Amino acid sequence: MNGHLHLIGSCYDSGQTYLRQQSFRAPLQISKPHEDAGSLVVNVVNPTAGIFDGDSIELNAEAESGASLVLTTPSASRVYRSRSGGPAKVKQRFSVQADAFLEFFPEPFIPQAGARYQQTTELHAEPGGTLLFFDWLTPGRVASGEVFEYAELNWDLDATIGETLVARERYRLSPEDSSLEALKLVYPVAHYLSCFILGELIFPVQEIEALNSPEVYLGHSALISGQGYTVKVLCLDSLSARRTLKQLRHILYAAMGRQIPTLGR
Amino acid sequence: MLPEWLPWLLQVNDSQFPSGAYAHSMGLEELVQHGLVKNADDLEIFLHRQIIPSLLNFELPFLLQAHAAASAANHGTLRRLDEDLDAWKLAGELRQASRQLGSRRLSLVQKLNKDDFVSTYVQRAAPCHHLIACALETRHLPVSAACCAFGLQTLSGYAISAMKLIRLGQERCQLIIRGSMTLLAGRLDGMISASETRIGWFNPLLEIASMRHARANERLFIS
Repeated sequence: MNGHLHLIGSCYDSGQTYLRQQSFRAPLQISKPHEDAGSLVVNVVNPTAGIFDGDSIELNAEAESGASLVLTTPSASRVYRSRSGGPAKVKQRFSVQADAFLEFFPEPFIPQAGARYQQTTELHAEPGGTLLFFDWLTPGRVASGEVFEYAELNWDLDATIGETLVARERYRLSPEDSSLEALKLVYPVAHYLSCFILGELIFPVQEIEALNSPEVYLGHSALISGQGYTVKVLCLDSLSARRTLKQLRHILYAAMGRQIPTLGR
Repeated sequence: MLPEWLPWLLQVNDSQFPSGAYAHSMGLEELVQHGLVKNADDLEIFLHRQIIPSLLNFELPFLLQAHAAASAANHGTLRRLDEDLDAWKLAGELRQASRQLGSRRLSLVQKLNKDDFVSTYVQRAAPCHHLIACALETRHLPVSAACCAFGLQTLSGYAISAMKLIRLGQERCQLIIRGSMTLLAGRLDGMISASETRIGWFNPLLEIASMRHARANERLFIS
């Protein structure tokens, strides 16, 4: 399938966010957006079983000046075993203009045994805008005994603030080499969480460090521009990962002085 | 016949070369404190399974690009690569350590061997990451020698800092460096000829370790 979702969130004079532009094609669609805590919450839905090799999906979301847009997913994203030997591809871009806010808070990503997948992510914030991006990589279908049995994941991310490249990641994860070694050393069935915050805020160091526990190994750092941060976390299991993400989201919203919208899923 | 660059390479790669590397563990201190590297065997596995793959998939392919730019006296490309490294190094402490090591090396190299190309580069307030400094230092050398030099600086840096962190004698330390360099050297030709365009390596553990080390209550090393 070649699917896409293009969204542009804009702002009425009243300050209310609306979707100025929306375009989607299977397997992606959106549920009816709802407004909560000053943001427009949009659930990105994939009603099919998941993502298969050969699928190519493009997701573009932009928040224009004054808009506040929250994107989430109602369920986990699964990538199934590649039958052709080729990958499934997802290309996503999230951008915010000055004085805009955009959050992407998806449910976990579950690459099943034999899955091949390429994910390319671009994050862009204009100075004065705020972008919050979360990612949750699971080891696979752990309950079925599948732990890090996917064939290959290629994970690319570039983040820019204005014209400055502030973060770049290029990962190839495969059980064929030692690329999963570091992931499994702290917890053998580790869930990996990644968060990028582009924009100015007083970073809540103490609160975020308090998330560390025997089940959570967490670090955080300012990015090069000084106007962005990243939080990286290894978690013991899915329960600790879900709990950590929820708490992290609450802490960041509080630090930004924003009310936290319910995700409606 | 003795290659004319060999004495230079030996000098700038000497463990006594005052680059300041002795003050950095590059995240290893936190891994030791967290009980993830407890002894010499763990260190060897850490180098073989985490650091050498990172060298072969990220740092050395990156060095190939920087070396090509430095050899061609291409300031613009070198500067872009240098600034890209700021983005690649997500952990602020690793980013800063890389800049400090590179700047110190370039500062001393200029005193040892006046080089207008290097002087001009440094004067333009470039980040001067360690990889870029290595490319500049070795730009007249074969690229395989440059890769060996950077590989040795990295591996011996970890091994020597480990002597202050775990029970590890000098002899075992050198054996670990020797074993690691043998492993790395055997794969260099393949890496150089492959000239991968998509480079990178996944090590969230070292990234998180470095981020935590920056805020540690007690520490021996700067990074």
